[in-house]
Amino acid sequence: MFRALNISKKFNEKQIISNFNLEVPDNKILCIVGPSGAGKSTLLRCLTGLESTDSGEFYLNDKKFDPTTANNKKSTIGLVSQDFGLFPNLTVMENIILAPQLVLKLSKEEALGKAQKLIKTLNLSGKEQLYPYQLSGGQKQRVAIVRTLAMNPKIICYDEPTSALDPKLSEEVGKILNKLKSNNIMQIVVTHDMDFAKQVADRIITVEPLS
Amino acid sequence: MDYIVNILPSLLSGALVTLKVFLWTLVISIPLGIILSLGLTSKLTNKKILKIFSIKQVIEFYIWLMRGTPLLLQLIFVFYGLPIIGIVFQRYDAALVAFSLNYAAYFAEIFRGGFQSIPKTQYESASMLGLNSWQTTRKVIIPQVLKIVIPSIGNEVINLVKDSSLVYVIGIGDLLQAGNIATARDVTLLPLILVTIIYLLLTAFCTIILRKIEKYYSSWR
Repeated sequence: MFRALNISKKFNEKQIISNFNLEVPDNKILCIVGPSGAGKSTLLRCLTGLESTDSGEFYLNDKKFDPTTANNKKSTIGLVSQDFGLFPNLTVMENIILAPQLVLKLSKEEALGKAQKLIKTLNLSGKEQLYPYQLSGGQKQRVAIVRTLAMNPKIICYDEPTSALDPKLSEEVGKILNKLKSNNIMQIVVTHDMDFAKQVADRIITVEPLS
Repeated sequence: MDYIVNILPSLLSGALVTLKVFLWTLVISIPLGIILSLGLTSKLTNKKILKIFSIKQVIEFYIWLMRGTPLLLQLIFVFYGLPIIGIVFQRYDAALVAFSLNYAAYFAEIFRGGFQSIPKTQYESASMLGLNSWQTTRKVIIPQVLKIVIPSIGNEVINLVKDSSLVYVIGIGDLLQAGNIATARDVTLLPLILVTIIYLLLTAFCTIILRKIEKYYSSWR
């Protein structure tokens, strides 16, 4: 169970998030929807530790933790960003095994073995030696998901996962997220795509811009 | 032909000096330029020392000084000027100091542009995967920066081959000086034509190497 309590964040004296609470049980998907400017992305950045919060507390399985340091030397929280964030200088396989080798200290063989299993699960076989620019949007996204999964995160956050995809690919991504539900992973999806949210969410939270 | 055979050893030994200055300057100034550019782009260097100036300001001043004054002046300053205040360099060392400091400033600006063109999301993705800043810089950022800056670095490398001829001013016998002496002594244009050909060969060789490096980096975009 992941809980965020009373999260607040200001930018240049403008309150973006005020006393926000959320809870994600194990194996569940929480979708955060809302119009542009409602603070969805800021909220996601706070949850992933990319931004510090002005106030609020985070708990993972009832243990307090700080997202800004949670990924030091491991990966507690994974993020699949809107532009996928793949490293263009590395092949698909190198993208996936880089962090497991450097951070989790797996041997190259161990990292490759793990990556191969995930690649198979997410239908990326045959793409291992391609560079990101040679992949379609949907494939890039799946590589980003595999790369995140390879670090065994407890929580995976997605920032607008369907913004670059057509409806068919969006549905496919939805199926992948549902498939991951059985792996004791908590998933948080920020999206403005209500159809997608309805397809994957166990719970939907709507955020509105603060006046 | 006999004349060419006669003067070629002195020209080639001059070319060797040119090559040595060229290679050592690159070996010193490129890493120094990368370090300086990291200083220019890092938030850590904004902190003021003794509440007067920050490391970033010191680096900016250094780059302004090096790019704002002639390399010839810097060479003369290091070899003839510094001994007045007790800092003495051998001719060759003085040339390396002046060239390396000057070129590092240009490389720093080129690398700064490269670092600044890397999207913030690359750093964030690396941090979300648990990579520390050194791992991120080494495995993710530097390869991307190198790809971006290679054409500009190439320009500077070609410039350096030609700029190395300035060492004559502190009495180092390089390729140009060897040709100049032979022309003055024998009253013929041939030595200078040979010098021209050797410079062209050197720059052509650099161009080929740079093209190969560019090709290596073209496997990804």
